[in-house]
Amino acid sequence: MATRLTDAELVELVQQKTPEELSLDEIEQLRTRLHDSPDLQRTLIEQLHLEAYLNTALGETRVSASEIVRRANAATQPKRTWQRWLLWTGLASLVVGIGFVIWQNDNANQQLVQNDPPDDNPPIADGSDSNSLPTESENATNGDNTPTGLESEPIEVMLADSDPNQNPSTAVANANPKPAGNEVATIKINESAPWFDGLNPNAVVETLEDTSTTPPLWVLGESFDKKEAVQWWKAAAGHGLHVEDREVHRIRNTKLEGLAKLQAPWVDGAVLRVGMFDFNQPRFHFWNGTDGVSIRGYFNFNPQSWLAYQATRETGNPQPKTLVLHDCDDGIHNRSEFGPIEFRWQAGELIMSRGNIRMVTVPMAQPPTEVYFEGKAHFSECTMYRGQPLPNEPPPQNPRLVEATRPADWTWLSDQAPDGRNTLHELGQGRPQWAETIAEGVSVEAHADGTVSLAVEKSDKLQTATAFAPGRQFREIICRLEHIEPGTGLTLATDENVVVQRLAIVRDRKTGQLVLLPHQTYQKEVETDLDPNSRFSPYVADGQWLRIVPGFNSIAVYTSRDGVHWGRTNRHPIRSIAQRPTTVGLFVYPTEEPKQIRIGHLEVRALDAISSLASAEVLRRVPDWEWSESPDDSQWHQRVLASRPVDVAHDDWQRACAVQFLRQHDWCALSANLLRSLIDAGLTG
Amino acid sequence: MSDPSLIERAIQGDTAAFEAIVEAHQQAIYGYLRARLFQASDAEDLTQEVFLRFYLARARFDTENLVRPWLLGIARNLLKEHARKIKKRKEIAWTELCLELDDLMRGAGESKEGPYEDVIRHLPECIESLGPSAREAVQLRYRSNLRLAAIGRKLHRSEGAIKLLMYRARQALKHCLDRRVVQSQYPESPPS
Repeated sequence: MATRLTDAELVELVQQKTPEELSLDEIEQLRTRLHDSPDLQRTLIEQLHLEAYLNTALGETRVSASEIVRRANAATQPKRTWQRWLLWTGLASLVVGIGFVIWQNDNANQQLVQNDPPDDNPPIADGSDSNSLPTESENATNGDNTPTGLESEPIEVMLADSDPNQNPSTAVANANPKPAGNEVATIKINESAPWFDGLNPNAVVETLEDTSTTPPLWVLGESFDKKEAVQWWKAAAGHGLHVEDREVHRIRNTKLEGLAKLQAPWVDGAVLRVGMFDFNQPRFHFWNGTDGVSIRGYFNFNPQSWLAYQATRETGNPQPKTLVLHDCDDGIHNRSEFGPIEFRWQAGELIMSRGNIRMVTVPMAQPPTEVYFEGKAHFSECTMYRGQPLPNEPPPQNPRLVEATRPADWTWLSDQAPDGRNTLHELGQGRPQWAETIAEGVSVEAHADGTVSLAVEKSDKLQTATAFAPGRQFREIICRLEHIEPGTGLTLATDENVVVQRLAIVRDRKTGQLVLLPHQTYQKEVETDLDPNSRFSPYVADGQWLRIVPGFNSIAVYTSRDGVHWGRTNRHPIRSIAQRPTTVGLFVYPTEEPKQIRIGHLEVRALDAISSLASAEVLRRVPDWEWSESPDDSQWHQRVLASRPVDVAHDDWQRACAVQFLRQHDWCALSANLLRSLIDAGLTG
Repeated sequence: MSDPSLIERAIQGDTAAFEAIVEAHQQAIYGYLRARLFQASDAEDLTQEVFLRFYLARARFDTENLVRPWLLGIARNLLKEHARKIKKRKEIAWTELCLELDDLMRGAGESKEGPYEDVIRHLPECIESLGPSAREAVQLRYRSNLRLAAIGRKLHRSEGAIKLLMYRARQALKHCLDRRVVQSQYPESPPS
């Protein structure tokens, strides 16, 4: 024991530290003094109560009553069966005993000699005792993917192959060159392989209705133990894999930690179904040649999410070399909770789903030939079957285009003139192609292909050029960045050219990749240390699509590689945005070396959810009032009451005035009240 | 949860009634266990186990009694069993210390959970009254189960600064709860 603390010091210690912060020595001292010090007792009890209260109020647990009932029934069922068995066995013994006595009396001189048949069954070989497994290369045997020791006749199955006609028309407009196709059209699988039932050529194609309502294995009381797990997953060549049997509520599951390769072949219509819990940075990599998809779980913070990346690798390496963010499950994992997840390849896309809900979708021209799991997770099940494809979901798109899509067709503004004056001026003056120097070594150019670029040779100031979009209606902005470099980015601005936020492109030091992050005030650094444990990793590349959805006091940013599938770039929207952006621009950080950013697509689409709560006709009659910066409720109500036209109902007029205020005015306390009342009115009909 | 018919129905095997009991008490049981265990996953597992044992032994439950104390009794027994399985000495020591405190409270006739209902009602308001950083630190600590170092990284502060922040937040919460619970018990002081 290091230092003997006084009771007063122990009291102070308990007040200052959380239980986990206390050392073993300190806890032992508390136990020693507990019974003799009323002050210490009281303090400890108070702290323990507070800890319990906080965990009660804030902790998150989800007990499934139906699961408990099922387990309780399962626990009592064998007992009843056993009791019944005992009863019947007892009765049978009695009958046999009586019969035997009678028989013995009748056949006193006869003797019966009967031997039990010999046990021909060989002892069942146990699996490896070691938790560290051999690598898949050590086990590879002539393309037979079954585990060693299983001796039935293999049969051939067709591997999944791509059908060029099935590729989605909208996807991968600028995809990488065609990756290698499946070199082997068929593969032999052994009848004793655990995937034989699900993947053999005669296996039934499971309907989506059936598979999406199949409960998780653990709910059925079924285990997925190490012996089974090592048939599905083996250590990837050159990598370690720790496999361990675990038991939760008497149901066994298997902990996998490391880098594992799926042993089953990916046949036509294959679906990989895995149940997992207690994750740490789980990643699934799907490869065909050097191109593939990497799907990563970000589970250290809520909402827990999966992000999907288009990936490339060096030949033979199971881990990605480059990643570009393509999709995000937008919290579906969090909301749909404990069910297994499924992976399928269909029509040029790799899809991760739960039940019949798509979580992420990533274009992948060819079906995977290698699948890896990386990280740590407890697997409660793993299986593959031939399943029906998921139905196509048309991507939601707001129909009404407000502004054109060629950036060069927009009016571009700069707040810097070559003479050094900081005055807003229009660039290009409406000409289809133009190039202007807005400061020494800084030029903005509209190109023949409709793109617009901002190029900086050298500058000690942050340089910006913004597309002008008048009007303050609710809208989303969609753009594609054709060329990006670290130290460049996108500016979000109001119709009055006030910059409200910047999204910066910086280089992640660890991976060398570009990431899109909200700009921090005074930020000039073009590199960052991205910690994938604590934040999303929005890796981006040339040709990245961005969708900016300004909300009330916040901005949500989505990204895509194809302009069809979208996923969030941040766990939460960017908050505390006082003014609503209506347009975007380009910027370059102060630089000593030439930098350039180019935008290839820019459109603004109307967001009608709020506006549609009021009649368009009534909306047009709402006066264009001047408001102070923070108008109060009474002022607003007075104006609304006083101005109501006699032929408009009070509720309709109030709603129209509220919509108009939210559209025109920056966020303030009154906005929150009006929005709440509008939503209430919208929900109640 | 004081609806005797609901408890009666749960005892008779009505799953919906049992679900309602689980819904009403799961947070309290989890909070009790989490405060006495270092691992959130252990607290979750034991919470499940508490309700399983309750369900299995429901026929023995006397409907004259309250459900929560009975569940807490099961939780306490499970904690004792669990303490024998823990391998880390520090975790064992903490759980055993908590069990000793529980014994002391029972010996003194004190309710295990203190003025539970009042505190749980007022706690959200008290958390809301904290400063933004303290509020976020408390949320990260108790909702996301983050350690102090991780909270520090998230809030761009040193671990020491987070310790201090958490200490002050806990003190502020205690004062706030004391004040509000007393107010709710004695809403108006008698005229002098």
